[in-house]
Amino acid sequence: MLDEDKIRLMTRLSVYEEKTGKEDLKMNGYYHADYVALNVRKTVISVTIAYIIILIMVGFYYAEELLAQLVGMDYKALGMKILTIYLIILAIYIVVVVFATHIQSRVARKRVGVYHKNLRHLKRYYKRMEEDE
Amino acid sequence: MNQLLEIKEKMIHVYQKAGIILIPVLKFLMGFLVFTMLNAYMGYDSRFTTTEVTLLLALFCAFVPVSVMVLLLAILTLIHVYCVAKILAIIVALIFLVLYLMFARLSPKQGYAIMAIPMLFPINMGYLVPLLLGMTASPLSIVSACCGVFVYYFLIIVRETAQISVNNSVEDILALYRYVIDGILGNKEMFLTMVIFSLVILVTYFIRRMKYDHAFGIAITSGTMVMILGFLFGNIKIALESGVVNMLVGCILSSLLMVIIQFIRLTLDYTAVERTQFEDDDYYYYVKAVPKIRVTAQEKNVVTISSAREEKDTGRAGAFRENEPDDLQLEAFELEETVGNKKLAASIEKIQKSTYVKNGVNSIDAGSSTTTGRTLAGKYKSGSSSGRTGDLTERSAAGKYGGTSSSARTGDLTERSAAGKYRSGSSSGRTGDLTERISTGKYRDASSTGRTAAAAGRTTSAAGRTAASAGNYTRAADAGKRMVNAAGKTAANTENTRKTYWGTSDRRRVDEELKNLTSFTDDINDFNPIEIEKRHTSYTGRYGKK
Repeated sequence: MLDEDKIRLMTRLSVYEEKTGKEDLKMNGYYHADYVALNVRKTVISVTIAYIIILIMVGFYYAEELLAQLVGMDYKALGMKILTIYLIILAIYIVVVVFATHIQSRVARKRVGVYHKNLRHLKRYYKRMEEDE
Repeated sequence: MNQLLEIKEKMIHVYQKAGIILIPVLKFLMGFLVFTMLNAYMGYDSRFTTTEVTLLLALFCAFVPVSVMVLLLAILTLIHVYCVAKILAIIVALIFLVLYLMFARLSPKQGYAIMAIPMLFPINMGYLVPLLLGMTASPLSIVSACCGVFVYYFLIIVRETAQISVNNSVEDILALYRYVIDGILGNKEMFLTMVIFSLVILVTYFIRRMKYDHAFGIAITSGTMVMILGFLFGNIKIALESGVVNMLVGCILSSLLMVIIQFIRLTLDYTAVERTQFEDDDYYYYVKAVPKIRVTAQEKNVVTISSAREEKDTGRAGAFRENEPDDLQLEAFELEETVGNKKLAASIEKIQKSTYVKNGVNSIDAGSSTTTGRTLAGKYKSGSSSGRTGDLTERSAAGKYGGTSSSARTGDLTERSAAGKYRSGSSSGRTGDLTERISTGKYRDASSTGRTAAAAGRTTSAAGRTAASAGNYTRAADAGKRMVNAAGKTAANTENTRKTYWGTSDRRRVDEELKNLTSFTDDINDFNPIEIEKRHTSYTGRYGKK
């Protein structure tokens, strides 16, 4: 015998799992701090790669000047400059990512909360069914 | 406006019916358009410009997320550039990589913006994208919009550079590279566009989030104004390549298109049909969940021909009928249409309801709609019915034959009727439920389980009342208990009524009336309109028009 209430509940759960729930549940699998840390790590890696590419491109652009000043160049100052810019960019990115992740996970947790509530309903429903039998 | 709403309705229907096919088809068309434009713009590699390849790529895009389409476009661009200038292709690849790592990955969902701006700018509609992003996305989409603008101007430079023949000497490569980078960094129009688009997104986003009437319309207008003013001011310093007139036309057309998109967007957002599948221990479920929608189109009205007064009378009964289950509604309307007289129809219903006279239950149910009540009123003074939102309270006194009171709370209907000495029953129904219990005084065994009283000829009570309820039906056992309660509660009332009217007044007359009613019912059952008409006139004449 088909039970409409149960089907409604299961449909709601299933639709969520297939759509927004996918990301939410993945996010929910981590502790909040771990999830933020993971995103920060990813950001650091991608920003670093991008920065290296930009450095190479800038270096290539100024190739002639660099070759001309190869000997008398202040490498320390140049290194410090490159590093400072890198750290500033990285800091900006980390702040943005931490902030964005925080908001994302807060919203996701609310949705997951509703999902768990529905799951509990379903569990109770099965319990009732067992008792009836 | 109504026409627009109806178009919207039609769109919802089409979307709900064909959504599963429509989306891939639209994606296919979009893919085909985008790849064709790319081929027209920089189709250097003739292997990839053929219609077959374009169709295949578009077909592939129909079934994958938009981000994959963006990736495909980037790869195809690289292939075309590689075909004419290998070094340039490397530069393009590096710049695309930086774009992705630094910016595009921050807002992957707005990948379509990166693709849309370069595709829409050539047809002067690129101004639509920041408005759309402001209306639909978060301020983070500024990143995507800027990436899109960058890609557009970058591709212009790449296209120009690709024409330059380059030798493989280091000097030539360096010169080419510098030309490209200078072209990007020196492109003030690009930066101006980025700044204006960012402003438009911010303005549109914040205004549409405000809580006042027409916030969406104001947001679109303000966004467009910011865009036009921005470009006009920008034009003082940097002459726009496309020209001011083109920009103005583009902005205005984009905002108009945005209004249309906004009009249908919300509808489509919330009418998505969900298809899902799951299983439990017993079944596999393949569920199609269709969201409920509001009907904005005009509903069909059933016009019945009757006099003004009757219409007034039947107003309530009509309202009840709307809520009745279909079969009953049909039946009721059939009656009305055939005889062409609602009042008569109501009388008929009343009489039909009283057919349980036949069952030896000498009670006349009082719980009927106002119309019915009034029609037969007379000495059976039927009640008045009053309904609040979702409530129905009826009190009817069935004249000599006892009084009935029925009250229904929100969604519930409880009726208690006492039919003189022969206590009438009680019926109660919950929201969407109909529970009828007819207690029949000393013949108390007759309980009926019927759809509605309006189910003519059946032994039911309360056509009007039952209309307010629908759904599950009586459980006789439960009915018993309630009947006792009802009987108890109405006992005093009944006793009074009996003393007042019944005890002394002539039973003979009552019997005569009942007999009359029974034969009237027979006429109705035989469906003899002439006889019915006569009787009806006689009844209304005798029992007044109260």
